[in-house]
Amino acid sequence: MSLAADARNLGAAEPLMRIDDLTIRFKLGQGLSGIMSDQPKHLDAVDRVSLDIRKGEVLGLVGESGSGKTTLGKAILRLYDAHQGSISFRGTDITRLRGSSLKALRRDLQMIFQDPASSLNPRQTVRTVLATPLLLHRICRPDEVDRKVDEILTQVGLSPTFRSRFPHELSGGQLQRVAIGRALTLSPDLIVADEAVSKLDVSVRSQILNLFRDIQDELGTTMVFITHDLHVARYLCHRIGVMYFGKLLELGPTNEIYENPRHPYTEALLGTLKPTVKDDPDVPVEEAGEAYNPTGETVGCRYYARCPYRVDQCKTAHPPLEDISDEHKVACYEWRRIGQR
Amino acid sequence: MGFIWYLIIRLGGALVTIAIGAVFVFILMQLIPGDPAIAALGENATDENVAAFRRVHGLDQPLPVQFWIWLTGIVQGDFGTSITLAQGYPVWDLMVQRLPNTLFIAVYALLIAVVIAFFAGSIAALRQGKMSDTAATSASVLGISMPDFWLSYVLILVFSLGLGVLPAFGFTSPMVSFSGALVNGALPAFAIAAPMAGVFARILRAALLETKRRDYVTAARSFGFRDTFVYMHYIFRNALIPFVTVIGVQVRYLVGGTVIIERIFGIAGLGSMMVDGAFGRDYAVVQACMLAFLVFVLGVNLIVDIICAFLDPRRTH
Repeated sequence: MSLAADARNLGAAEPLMRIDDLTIRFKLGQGLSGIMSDQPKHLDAVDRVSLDIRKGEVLGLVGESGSGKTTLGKAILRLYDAHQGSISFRGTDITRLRGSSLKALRRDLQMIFQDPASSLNPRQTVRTVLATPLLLHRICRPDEVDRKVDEILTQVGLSPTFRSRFPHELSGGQLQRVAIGRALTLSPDLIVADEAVSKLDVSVRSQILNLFRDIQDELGTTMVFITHDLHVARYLCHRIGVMYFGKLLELGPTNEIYENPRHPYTEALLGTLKPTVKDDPDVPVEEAGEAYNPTGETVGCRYYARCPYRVDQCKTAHPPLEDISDEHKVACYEWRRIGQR
Repeated sequence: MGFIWYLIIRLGGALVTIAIGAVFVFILMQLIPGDPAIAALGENATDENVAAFRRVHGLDQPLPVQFWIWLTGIVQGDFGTSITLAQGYPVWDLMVQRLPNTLFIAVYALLIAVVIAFFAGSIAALRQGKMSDTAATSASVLGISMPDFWLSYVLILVFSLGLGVLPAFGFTSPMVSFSGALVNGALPAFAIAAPMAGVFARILRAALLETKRRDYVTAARSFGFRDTFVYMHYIFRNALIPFVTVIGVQVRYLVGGTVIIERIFGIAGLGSMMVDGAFGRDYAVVQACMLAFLVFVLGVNLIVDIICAFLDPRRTH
């Protein structure tokens, strides 16, 4: 079964999570220096993003560093508060949950981090790492914890002898397996994996990617996979969203994004992936331009300065996300001119 | 099991350090110009008197023999006899009178520094970038920049001469009156503590900030653990390791501080005794004081390392 076919089947299902017009705002320059300067006091790391996450899919979020993909991932987990907009999870707005209902929500949403060395507490053994959430959320009785820990270790491809190890006794790949196991302890509905393989050696990377795929096949866990690596995204994801300076620029099934990109930025990203495209004289090459300044007063398209297709309209406002087919959305006024070859 | 071995190795290492330290202390005293006989008998002493003095106190023996006599004495608990400062008194008796005063001031200063740093560092890190952070960080720099002898006189000026609440001079032994020692020792202890508190607070703040942004802290939050639980088990315990380590490093300043501060505040402690002994060329006294300081520094470092071993599984595992 191809990924594209998967995505079409999934399209019919009710979304597990609906992100609607979400803005995550960071305050800047507090303290003495903030009072003295006249710089803007905030930065919208995620800027009015709307997105559905479907049950059982792997949604890729790609973009360069600073594009807001990690912030969006953490916002999904309620690690940041929404400045504007809402996140609905299984039909309930979770943006304003507090106290015990927030704690109950935590069970269903988990995260896997980029740096395996920093993602485990150096003072805790593997057993403690895996047992603490099990006990806190009363997943199993205290006398069953060891059996459950072994089960999880086996699931992520580690032998139960790893139970008593400390993080400094594990390799990067083993650490990441434990971190994945920790995310699985509570059988979450949604896992956000933030650059989960980018700090690993190439040989280990493919093993961990296969582990993600196995877990996905076996448990059908919905995943948001954040990456800057387009190969990784293509291998693992059913759908891909492309982000740039807090905006979602393009969203569609993986094959569609790779075969038929309709945003100049996606095209430029893929140009770095497929060197042959650059050799084609008809395809405009990305111009070296000054990137968008997120703290400035600029209106208009975020990609304007670097865009080879720009027209006057692009200066007026950032283009809205537009449906160009059932599954494919693009935020570009000039999308009809792009990718037609 | 691992921990017992760790302790044995550390204690053995400390003993070797003390032995090497003893050699250095002895050689160092011999290198200082001046003659204890002249210091004791005066410039006009006759050659016969000087020779007799040297014979009585064993100063005419070859240096290795003198060292051997001193070392074997120490092993048996005999630190020798004072030859100029308090002629004929066993050095041990002098130390026993003064050691409690110095230990009291040193521990008092250490506690003040740790408590101030604990609050200043935690507040600064928890409220990073806010006004309270700026205030705590600025106060730390101020503490580090003020020389302890200068701060002593400022404290005397304000609290003794100005407000008249604390004595400027003199000290009550904690063996006589503990509360008296607390009151009389407040100014000297604070003068020694201020620079250390500044260093400790900055280290703790940096360590807390560094730990706070670790992914395992985010992971713990995303499991729904309570904020206090996350702070204690995931942030604070890990940040404590550099904090405690730096206490061990700073103890040498504590010793240096007591030597000066005891003179200023007129405290009969080991520091002032060592200075007097050095001026009087009283070898046995100075050597005993230096050894005592060495043991104190090593002792605190050993305690620090043991605490770190408990905090950090990497040390013993």
